[in-house]
Amino acid sequence: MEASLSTFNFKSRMNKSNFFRKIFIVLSVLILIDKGLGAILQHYYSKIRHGEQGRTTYIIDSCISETIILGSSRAAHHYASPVISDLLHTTTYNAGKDKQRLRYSLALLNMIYRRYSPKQIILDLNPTAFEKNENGLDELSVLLPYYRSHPEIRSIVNERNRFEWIKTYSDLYRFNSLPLKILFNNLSSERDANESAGYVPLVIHKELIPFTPDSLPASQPIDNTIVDCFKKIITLVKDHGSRLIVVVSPIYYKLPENLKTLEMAKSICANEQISFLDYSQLRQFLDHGPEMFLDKGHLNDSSAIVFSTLLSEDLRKLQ
Amino acid sequence: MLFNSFPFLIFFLVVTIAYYVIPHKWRWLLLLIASCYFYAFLIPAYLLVLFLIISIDFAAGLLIESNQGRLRRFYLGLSILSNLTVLGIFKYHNFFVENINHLTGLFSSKPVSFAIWELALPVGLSFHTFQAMSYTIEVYKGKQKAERKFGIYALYVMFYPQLVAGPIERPQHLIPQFYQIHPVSYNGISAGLKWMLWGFFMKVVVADRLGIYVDYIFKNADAHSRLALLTAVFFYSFQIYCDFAGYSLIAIGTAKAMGFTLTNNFKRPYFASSLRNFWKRWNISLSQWFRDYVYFPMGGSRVSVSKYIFNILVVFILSGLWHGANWTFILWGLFHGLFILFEYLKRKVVPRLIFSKYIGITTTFLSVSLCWIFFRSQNIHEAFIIIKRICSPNTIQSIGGEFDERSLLVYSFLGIFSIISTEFISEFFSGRFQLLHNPKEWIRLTTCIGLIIVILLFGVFDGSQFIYFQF
Repeated sequence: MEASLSTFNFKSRMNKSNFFRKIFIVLSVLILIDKGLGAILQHYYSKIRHGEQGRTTYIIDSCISETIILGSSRAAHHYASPVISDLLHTTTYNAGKDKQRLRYSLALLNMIYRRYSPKQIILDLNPTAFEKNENGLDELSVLLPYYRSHPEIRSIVNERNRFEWIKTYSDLYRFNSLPLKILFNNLSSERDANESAGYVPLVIHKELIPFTPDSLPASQPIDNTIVDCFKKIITLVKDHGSRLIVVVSPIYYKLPENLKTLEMAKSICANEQISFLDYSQLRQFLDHGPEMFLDKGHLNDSSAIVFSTLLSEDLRKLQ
Repeated sequence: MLFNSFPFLIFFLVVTIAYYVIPHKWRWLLLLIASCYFYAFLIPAYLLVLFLIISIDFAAGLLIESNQGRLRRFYLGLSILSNLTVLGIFKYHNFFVENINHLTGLFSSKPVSFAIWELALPVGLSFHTFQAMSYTIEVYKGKQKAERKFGIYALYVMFYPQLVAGPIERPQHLIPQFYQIHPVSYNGISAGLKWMLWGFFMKVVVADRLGIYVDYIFKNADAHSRLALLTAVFFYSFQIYCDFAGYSLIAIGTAKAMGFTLTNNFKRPYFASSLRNFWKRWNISLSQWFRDYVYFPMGGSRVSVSKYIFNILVVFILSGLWHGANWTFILWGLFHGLFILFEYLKRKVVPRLIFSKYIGITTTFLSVSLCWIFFRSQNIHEAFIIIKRICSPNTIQSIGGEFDERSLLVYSFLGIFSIISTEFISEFFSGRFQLLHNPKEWIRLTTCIGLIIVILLFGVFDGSQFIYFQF
């Protein structure tokens, strides 16, 4: 490229009309390709039946389970939905998703309620869920493919930044970084997302677990917008007549007694008469950490089944 | 304001259109206000630091020109000292204090404990202080007349395209351009837009994509395999190049669209056949700054061998320190210096072989990549852990390890391939097979459209900063 910097010249000087003609051509072709290629990507994206994208599309467009589990990776990996379905004699789908937080759960709920009202929502709350996150709201980009077809999530996705609503006019932008995933997932013969009821077991060893749990790293300030999001979830679930249970699943950290997120969540749930179940410091899990956890934040598959059984029994008592 | 942000696109359009609409006599003011706004978008309070530097050097320039003999030298010294003091306060104070505290702790039972200052480093401070210093030095040398208009001088330091990450411009190159009348040139605008487009591609499609993998591996370096670490080091070599060269191209393009010509800061550095040649192709404006204002005044290469070795090591250690107040940067500079000295000795002993150019390109790339490990690591310990793990043969061989975004690796390799192939063509087939500057209009337009589509589909839009902003 550098050579061209000095050798750059056109045979003739470009005039005003020529310049604007080229701009017009570039913009016109871009719009055509953006819409055309965007439509193709949208078509093949909606055909994905497995993997992360397949799960999300299934929850939004097809799922009719009576119980829906929401949350981050801790939800996706801790709640063995087939176990919960068996023990509670209900249909359960685990809609937890890696790297996601409460805004994603709120957006998902909005899309689910547009179609039907599940009887019960289990919301897995991360013990630091209300704290400020330095990564901003980048993780909400997973919702961009649904932006056009689901207007109810636009205000949430637009929180990513001030200009998101302009950027989303581009169909290609909405499928940013997805073309290879769309290709691979359409070619792959993995089982459909609905067959596993959304539960993603963790079996690969990732991290060396210490024999005694570490203390939780220093807490960050509370982000009031996330607290508002939590309150909105409660209001939304109540408005649609579903039952909400907020659960804190086991974590291999020593949590301080006055952890702000948990204190605030407990207080909000008490005021709103929402069940709040805290399993975060259950000795049964903490005392056998290296065997039961895959890493400090996640249970392994067999422990997830133990936890799901325990939770189901408690939920049955609540009923 | 970041070049890779949406507000910048709006800012660029508004400023460029306004620049051509208003009369020439007010254009400098528009650019100065725009530059202040551009800088204030990051940390507004540091505009004051910038104006302090500008005021001191503006006055120093006038005083140097209007005086003779020792006084000229005194005012030059005062100007340089002021700039270095600002740099010292914001950039190096804590580094030196930490080291003094550590040293006194080693040798004394009652260690001294100097306070650490909690000051954020003004963005691009090293760039604009060096640019300001080059002004007073050039005035002192008599190669540049002292600028009489404060606004024009302020604009020289603050010109927004190159304000935070260079290129470091010489006053005789940039200041006269503020006086020139730039009529609307659609050729210039078109050329500028193309450079910006290629710069955006390098930054958001290649550098930021590579950065995801590099950050993942470097965050927990001792948990990854040799192959994963080698891949991360290889990726980082291209990440930092595409990040910095991408910035430079956007800067050059932005300026070009308004009729200004900035120094080209990169010349396909990874095709350099020696370390010496690498520094003629990488961050050219900084290399020339050190060459003209540090290396040559010390005697350059026309001195005894021992003095030459000393000169080279001093220049490269200073260059490392310029990048950051950390031993990792000092070691990075030191290793570059040592490699250059090794080449110097090798040239005297080993005759030129066939294919020496290609062998040179390979060994230069490997040497530079090895040095980047120090540049990227948080501390020396981390750098040596990475090198040790790369050298240990028994780690599991997997590029990704637990990295679950396999498609990202595909995008990363494709990005690197596109950069290497484009630069290969420019290096070995100069002027041929051009895309953005092909004589055929349809090829130029198709390339532009293709690049925009690739940026939209594969760009990383998380608003990540440019690596060189921290310097």
